[in-house]
Amino acid sequence: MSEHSQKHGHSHKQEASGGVMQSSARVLEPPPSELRPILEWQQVSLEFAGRQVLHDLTAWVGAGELTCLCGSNGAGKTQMVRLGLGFMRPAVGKIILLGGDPSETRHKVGYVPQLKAFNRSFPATVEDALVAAIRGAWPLFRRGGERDRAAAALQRVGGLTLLDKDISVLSGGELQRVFVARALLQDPELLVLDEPLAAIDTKGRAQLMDLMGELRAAKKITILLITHSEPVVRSLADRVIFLDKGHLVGWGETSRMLAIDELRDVAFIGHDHESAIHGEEG
Amino acid sequence: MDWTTLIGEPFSHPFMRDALCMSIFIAVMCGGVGVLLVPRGLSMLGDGLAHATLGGVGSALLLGFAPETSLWAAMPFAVVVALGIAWLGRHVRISSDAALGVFFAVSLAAGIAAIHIAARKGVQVDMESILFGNILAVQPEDLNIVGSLSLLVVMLLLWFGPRIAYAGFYPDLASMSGIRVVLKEYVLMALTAVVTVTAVRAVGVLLVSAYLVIPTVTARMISWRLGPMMLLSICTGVMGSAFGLVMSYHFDIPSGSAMTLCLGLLFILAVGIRGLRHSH
Repeated sequence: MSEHSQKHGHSHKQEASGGVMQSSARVLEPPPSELRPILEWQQVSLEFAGRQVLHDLTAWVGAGELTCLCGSNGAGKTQMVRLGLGFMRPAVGKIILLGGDPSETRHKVGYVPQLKAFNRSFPATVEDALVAAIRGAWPLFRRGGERDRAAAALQRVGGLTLLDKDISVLSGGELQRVFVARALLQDPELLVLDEPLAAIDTKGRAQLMDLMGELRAAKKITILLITHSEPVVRSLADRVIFLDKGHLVGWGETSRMLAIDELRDVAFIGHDHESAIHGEEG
Repeated sequence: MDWTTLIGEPFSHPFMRDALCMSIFIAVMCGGVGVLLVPRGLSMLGDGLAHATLGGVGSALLLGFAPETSLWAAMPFAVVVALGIAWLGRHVRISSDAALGVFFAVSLAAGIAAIHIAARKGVQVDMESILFGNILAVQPEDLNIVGSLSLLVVMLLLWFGPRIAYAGFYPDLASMSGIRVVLKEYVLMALTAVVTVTAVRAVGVLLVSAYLVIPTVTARMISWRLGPMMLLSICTGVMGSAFGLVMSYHFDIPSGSAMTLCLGLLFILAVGIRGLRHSH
């Protein structure tokens, strides 16, 4: 921890580079050194599809906090998270997840991916999707005990009635609740949610925000949330990380970060499709 | 015509019993693999691989294999094509159906060219049985090979099936659960190649996708869980084959087309059952 504090326990301003937010607005204030880092990106750069999408990025997520990762479309948020979970390797730099290499420790992470990449035509019930997370393999046939665990996980997110439903008929909000229940099944140390409020209705959105609020209040789990929604950040986040064109442009406490107009412009103006889909204000 | 004549008479002939055994083996393999394949949007993979099999047959003939064994010799070729499609989709970033289109056309063209060259050297190939299948002419050694392959495919499905299925549901989540998603994709492609070449022996290149796709979508009309779907898919394949063979016997029509028509009728029946269930 002391080594970590030396590395990150100070504020500094980065040099500006072409096309990225002006350097005067860059505020990087890492969490206090008492916090244990759960997920760290250490001087990470990444090339993807022939384009550099992350540039010398150093940030970390502190234990027990809810950190929001924000930025415009194409800023590199999803790639940053996918690097953190070991789905891809950085060209330069190092990732430390729960004290080890992500490929070895990611089974301790609850991950709620974007719904748009989900195969909705797959023949599955909600119970199947949850039991798959318990078994680590798709349940072709049922076994005793697993159903009770799946039901308990659904109850936790207020979705017990969904247990026997065909997954293809669920609404976006119901599906998102199933994925959150699935992520919480293994009592993860870290919960990562990639735009969980996108494409869900007002009621589902409110329920999901309430659930995340409860998880945050319990302080037993660390949460990393990718979002385009300023109201979500304002109401839930302890800390925010802002990305712009693959550069880290803001990192610090929520109230402090949201007071900086340039950061809010980069991340939220014209990008809040999580609520814009339904014509909400947030 | 009573039931004994309708059902009993056709299967009083050994060649019909052999054909039934062969079709059951194929239905088991295709029913199991099809359920893993179709939900991934790879319904036409079997069709493409079946056409690619012609390239394997042509290559086998040029390598000196006898025409009657050339189809089995084509199996490694089909496996390489299937793995090539998966590799191309993953590394060159083109969609699976586009990769299939490339391999399908090139290997079909190579097959036609090779068969033409072999024919000039005096090697005669029964193209009709390759294109339309001839399950009624199945030999005991074919039954042994297909029976063994069927057992192998079932064992591989029991071992890999649940993890292949999980990877098809959501690759990232499967990967988070410790599943090697890429390896499972290659295993599924290789299995598909094996069952496709085997099914070509029964129903021919043109109708092979019937065995991979129709039983699966029929089962999907009845069940929305993968395990029961797999069993229903296999049962559909077996029933469609048996009824098709009976129909082929009594109406004197090609067995491959009769079996495919019966599979189609079972699908329509399943759509009707689904409609009735939904209306209630």
